[in-house]
Amino acid sequence: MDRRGGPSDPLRWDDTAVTQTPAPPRRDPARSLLERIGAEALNPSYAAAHDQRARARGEHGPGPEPGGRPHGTLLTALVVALVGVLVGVLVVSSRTQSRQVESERDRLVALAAQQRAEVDRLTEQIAARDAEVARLSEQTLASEAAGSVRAEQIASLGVASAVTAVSGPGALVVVEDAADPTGAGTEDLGRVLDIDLQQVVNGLWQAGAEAVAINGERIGALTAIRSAEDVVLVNYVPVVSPYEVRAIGDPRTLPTEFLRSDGGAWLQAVSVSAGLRFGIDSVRDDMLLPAAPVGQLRYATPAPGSGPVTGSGEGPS
Amino acid sequence: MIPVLGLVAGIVLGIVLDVTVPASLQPYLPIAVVAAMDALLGALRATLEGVFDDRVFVVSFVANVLLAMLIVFVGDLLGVGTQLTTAVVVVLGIRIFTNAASIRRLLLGA
Repeated sequence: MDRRGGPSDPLRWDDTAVTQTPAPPRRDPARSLLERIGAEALNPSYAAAHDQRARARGEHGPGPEPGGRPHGTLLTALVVALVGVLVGVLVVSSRTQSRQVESERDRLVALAAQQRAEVDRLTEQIAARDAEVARLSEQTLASEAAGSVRAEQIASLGVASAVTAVSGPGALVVVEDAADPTGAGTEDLGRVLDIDLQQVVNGLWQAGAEAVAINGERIGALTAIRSAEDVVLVNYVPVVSPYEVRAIGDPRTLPTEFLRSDGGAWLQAVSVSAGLRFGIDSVRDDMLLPAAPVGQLRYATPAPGSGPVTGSGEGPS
Repeated sequence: MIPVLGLVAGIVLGIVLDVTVPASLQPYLPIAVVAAMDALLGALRATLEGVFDDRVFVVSFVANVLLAMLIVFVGDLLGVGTQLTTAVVVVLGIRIFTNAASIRRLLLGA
């Protein structure tokens, strides 16, 4: 201690003992604690009891043998047996415990496999139903007078609403995390965020894209692009970097129009500020974009008892 | 010799009996066993050094086991059960190692 306190300093070490006896070298308190534990590993009482017995023997002539009390050995054996019981019980209980944990895990694994099989089965069922719907609608349209017009309508609406898979030429925008995602200043701005992908998709629509998909997830009217923790979800499916945004449209104008759109400007800005990497290419070969999942369609219905609003001043006149 | 037989008999008994430890005692059992092992190794070393005393052994065994469990119990009440368990295991572990090393020196002379 460098601190030298006056006599009244409460922090002053009580060094009267040190001055009276030759001062031992200053020691690290933690080390001396460990040393003491090591030095007293053998219960000091053993030595004390031994000395006591030796003294007793010295005074009263040859006394009892060391540790030779009549019930001593038996008592020792009993206590040692107790240790054995403890050890045995511990072994058994820890084994049953680990067996329980294992069986529980097996049960969960089996459950997961079962649920996955169920999902697969349902996915197959959906595909079969979709095919059936397509077949039936074709049949119905063929039997109708204005069927061909209707079929065309359905086809073009299907493209626009992303309920049918489409193929065609267009553009490919690849967006990647920065080389060192956490290095660019604060937190994880070097990562591609949901807002970046939203801007890219909006920019592609602006540039005249007819259909857009991110890593094979088609963007439909009900698609959400959002971050959950560190991953971006598209159609509730996690997608990871590099993000390949494919857009079907005119391959000659789409890339340049995209660069001139708000989305392109956004991408250039974040690539400068956060180090995201991106590339834009026109694709002349046909790309296949799958259909977007169709959620449950909801229709608005008039609330009961509320007729059309006829009052003046409401709504555009 | 008799104590060794007692230990073997105890282990066999403990396994055969197949006692289910109540869940509330579950965290204290390992600590009790570590404390017991410490007392046992101390006794073995004392025997080899010729200073063994059964009264000291029994008292130190019972007191150590109960104290170790009590410390962990109090720690659990205070919300520092894991930390105190670690502290107890560290102290007892050092003692076990030191005693084991002494026994090794006494038996093998190395």
